[in-house]
Amino acid sequence: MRRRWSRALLVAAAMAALVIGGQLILQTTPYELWRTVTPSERLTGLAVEAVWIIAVVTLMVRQPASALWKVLLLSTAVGQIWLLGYLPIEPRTLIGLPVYLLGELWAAVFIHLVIAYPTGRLQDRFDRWFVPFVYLFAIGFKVAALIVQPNDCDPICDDPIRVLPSDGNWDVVRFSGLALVPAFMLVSLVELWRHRQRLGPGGRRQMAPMLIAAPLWCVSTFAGYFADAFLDAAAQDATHTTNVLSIVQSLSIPIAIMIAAFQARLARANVADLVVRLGRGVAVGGLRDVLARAVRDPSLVLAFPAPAGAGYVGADGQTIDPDTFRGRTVTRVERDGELLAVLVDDPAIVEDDPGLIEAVGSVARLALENERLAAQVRAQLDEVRASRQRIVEAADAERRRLERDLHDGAQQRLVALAMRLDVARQAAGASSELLDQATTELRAAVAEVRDLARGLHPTILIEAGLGPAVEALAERAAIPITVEAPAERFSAPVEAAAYFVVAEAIANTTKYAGASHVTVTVTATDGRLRVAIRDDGSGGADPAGGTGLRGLTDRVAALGGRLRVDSPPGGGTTVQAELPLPA
Amino acid sequence: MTDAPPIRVVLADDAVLLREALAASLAASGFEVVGQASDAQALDELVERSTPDVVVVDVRMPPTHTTEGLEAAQRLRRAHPGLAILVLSQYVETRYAVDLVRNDARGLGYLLKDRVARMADLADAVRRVAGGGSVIDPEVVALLMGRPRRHSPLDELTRREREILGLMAEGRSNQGVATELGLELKTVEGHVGQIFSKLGLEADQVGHRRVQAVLAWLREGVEG
Repeated sequence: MRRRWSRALLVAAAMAALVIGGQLILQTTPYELWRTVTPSERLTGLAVEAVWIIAVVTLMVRQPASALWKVLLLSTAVGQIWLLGYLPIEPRTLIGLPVYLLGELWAAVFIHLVIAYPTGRLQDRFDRWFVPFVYLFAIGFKVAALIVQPNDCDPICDDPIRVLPSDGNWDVVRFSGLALVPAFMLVSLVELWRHRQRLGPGGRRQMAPMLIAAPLWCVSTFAGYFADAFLDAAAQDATHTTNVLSIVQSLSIPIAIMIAAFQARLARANVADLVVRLGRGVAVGGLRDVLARAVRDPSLVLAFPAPAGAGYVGADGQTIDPDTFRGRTVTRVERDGELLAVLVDDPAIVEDDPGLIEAVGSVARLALENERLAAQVRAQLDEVRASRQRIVEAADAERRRLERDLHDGAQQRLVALAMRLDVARQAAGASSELLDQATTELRAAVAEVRDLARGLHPTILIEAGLGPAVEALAERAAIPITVEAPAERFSAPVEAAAYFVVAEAIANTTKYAGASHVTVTVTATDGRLRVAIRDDGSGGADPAGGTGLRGLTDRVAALGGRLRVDSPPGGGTTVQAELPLPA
Repeated sequence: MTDAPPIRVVLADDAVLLREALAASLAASGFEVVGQASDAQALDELVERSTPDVVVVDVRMPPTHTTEGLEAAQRLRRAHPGLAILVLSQYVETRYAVDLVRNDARGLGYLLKDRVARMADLADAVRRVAGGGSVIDPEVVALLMGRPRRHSPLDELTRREREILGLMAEGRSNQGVATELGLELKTVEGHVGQIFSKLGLEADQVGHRRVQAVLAWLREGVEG
């Protein structure tokens, strides 16, 4: 910080020396034209120079990465040369020639300043070609003027707009200036806009004052020309038009630079606000928004190390692809060497104020640690949820496999065996009580295997879906059951969970509730499947009691759903399951 | 059996063991087993080639081992309207049985697999479908009849009438019912008239139409 200041003051001193030197030369020269400048005008001129110097110091201290101060320094130097143009020096002399030739360079420097804003560097090939061309034109114009302008001209009559007696070659030169200077200004404004479009929100915010100042400068410069050209001296004095225009012209750009630097300063003030905000407590998951506001970068990404080791997760526990960090500035926030979080933001924000992100990171360290733990727990929770769903799906698949094995294995063998036994009995020709008994036992075994398989995973559920499967349950029940279910199909895990909830609820009702009627309602609306089983029994069932419902609560929860049991004593029992339907 | 040419049967079941047992049982009962298939596609080709009188098909076949047999039955029925088909099923599901005979019950049957353990039962079912009758397994009918209902016209039937209704649902003719219950044909006809009037069914339906009407009434007519 101290080095920044000393460098800034050094540059400021150099600029001040240039200004004072220029003034000294003008003051000590007894030239008539200079004397027409009033003391108040001279003071205004000095004040304008002071604003420029302050702008440079502000810039160098606040945005040391920017090279803009060099262009500002150049413009101050060129400004002094322009002032020396007031001296009655014959252009065709050793001292007079450079003063004359560099007399219009200030306009080129301004165009340079606008195009190089805010980094102070020429960013692409067009800029690197265009800016030197403008400089060369500013000098070339003066060279041409020196050669072709009429001799009976006063020292500033090479002004391209001023109406002069027509002269062929001179007209060519001055009208080329008249056409090209606004074109150059227009190009510089277009370039400024183009550069802005490339920036993120932070950089754009920094560009905003210049976007107003640069057109203002162009307009006031031109208006100044016209005022000079078309208003007579008395009118100019009366309206102060030229003075006002020249103040706007010379101050718009340094003020814009200072405002931009001051905005960065405001961002620092946001850190203080952040401390207060964090002190009040931030809701889990809300830290990113708070930090984004503090660094004034709505695109800020807050990422935490993933619990599994590699990679990052967001506050919501979702994985963040580190590839999305490319081209952005990544700031690590650590505690005792352990990574707490990374702040990923717009490079312009960092260039704007390199210390800001780090300041924000360190102020928010404790909150970041909380948020990291919450994010990691969320990520783990997601993983656990996914694994629980996989377990349920694996269990369902296993039940289906067992069902198939029973049907196609054991049951087929038993039936075949019973048939062969019967054929054997027929062949024996005599009825044997022993054989009859064996046949009866075998048929009972076949029926048992069939019921067992059906209980594991009924084929009708796989083949025809939830509605028909529930209808089939109702047929088998001991009490009347009314079923209202759509014919619609749902995903296999959802259908299985809903089916087993209905089966278990009906079994419980039949066993304990003393009910005379049950209604099963299945509806699918708003992306959720709702199953309700209502009986008119005695109620008072304990939802926690019985492993059947307990297991089903887990099964339903594994699919992200909920199971509720309402059983007021004497008021019947209602079991309700709600399952999200995969989109 | 008699002088009439034997009934020609095609078998379809992917379980070789059971298929062989079925073939042996049918042969022993005097049927001519003209071909065996192990999946639905082979069955289609076999029927095309050997033009049997009856197809006996397992409900579970590759590839999904769920209800391929039912689909094969519907498909064969469309392709060969006169072909009798008996589906052997492991599922006591009224939906499957009723859906099978919903549009046309003639020569169609839904028999539980454990029923075939008795040669006589299997032979009886095959003969009935071959003769254009319908066969619905008694256990499926029992499920249809036994569904608990809050208010049901079934409650107004006498025990005997319920018995007769069940046999009608199984696909028995009046004569079949009379034989089964040891009653006079006239008596059975009287009961049937009573049942139809109590249930509000059209009285003069006979044969497979009667089976369809009774099954539809039992399954969809009265809700639990």
